Amino acid sequence: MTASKFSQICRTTLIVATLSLLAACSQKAETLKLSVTQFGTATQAAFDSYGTAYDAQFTSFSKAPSAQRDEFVTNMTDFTGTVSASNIDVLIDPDGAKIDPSVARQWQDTLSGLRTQYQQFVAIFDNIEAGSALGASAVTQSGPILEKLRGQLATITGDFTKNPPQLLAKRSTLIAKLNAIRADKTDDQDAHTLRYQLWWQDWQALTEAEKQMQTDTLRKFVSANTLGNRLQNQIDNYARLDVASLLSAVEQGISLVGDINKMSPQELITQGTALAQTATN
Amino acid sequence: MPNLDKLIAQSKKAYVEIATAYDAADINQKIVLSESVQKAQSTLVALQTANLAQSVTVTDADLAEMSRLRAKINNAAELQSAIEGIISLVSKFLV
Repeated sequence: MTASKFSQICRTTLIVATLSLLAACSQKAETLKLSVTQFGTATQAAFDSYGTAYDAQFTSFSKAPSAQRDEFVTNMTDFTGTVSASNIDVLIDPDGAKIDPSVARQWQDTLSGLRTQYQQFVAIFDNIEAGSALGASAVTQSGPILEKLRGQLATITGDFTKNPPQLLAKRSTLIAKLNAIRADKTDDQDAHTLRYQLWWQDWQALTEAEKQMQTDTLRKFVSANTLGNRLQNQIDNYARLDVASLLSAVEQGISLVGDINKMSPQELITQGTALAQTATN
Repeated sequence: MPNLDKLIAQSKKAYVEIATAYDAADINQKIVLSESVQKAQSTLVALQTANLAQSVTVTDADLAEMSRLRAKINNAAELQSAIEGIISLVSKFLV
């Protein structure tokens, strides 16, 4: 074999090896991206549910448009004052939003700021498969930030578990309704009993809906926390893990979320409380 | 913060009390009570916002670091793509 032929084989081997290495890095990065996407999707779903649950605190029982119109007509008949800019909203929709707009905006800003943080973390990896070999150090450097994001998520989950939002406006309506039944002396005993029974059913339905809302949100947070913990492990050990290990981590993530979906409300509360303890330690 | 938890719990009770009175009231009383309901509701949301904000530990510096890492990966992707292009060009002459 001549020297030039040997040199050509060496160069060809080097090129093939480099291309293979780049392909392997790219495949590994794509697999990591799957885990990042899982975490990103789970956190957004958790914050969606969180926002909806807190908004529901002040949501009244829904009324048909015809009932709203009839109520308005009655209100106008009963109203003894003068209609003005300051009372028109209450006259038209007594159950409408009463929150100070600046307070509402602060809440929305805080929540959307949190969402943005998690979206921005996911965005780090937008192009990771293309920059898999030369940008690998950025993956490891993202570890401490993920740790902070996970810490926040655990604290929020713990707080939610300890003090979940309730359907306060609906509770108020039903309490007022119960007082009205008690105060009504026109009914006979049987009618009173029937009205109490119906009220009891409404109250049970309300507390059930409340529990469902709390459980759904908590479930999403527990999933996001679990996927975050797994992602942390993958990022911290990225240099040592191969494609197969990363792929198996993605599969385990899917299976764990499946397990969380089967958890009872009590099991979820236990998980949420444990997360709160981890966050404070 | 346990105090904030306590304040939120008290604020919820206060809101339910005033909202119950509002629900039981006729329209004339509702006009009068509306401001108190708004205050109770706003106080509760302000406390819940403070509680949520308290859990935020990610700083502006962390957000800047996230942008830097994203840029680093994007730059690496461009460079890597250029290298791959060169390698594939060279390989045409060798193979």
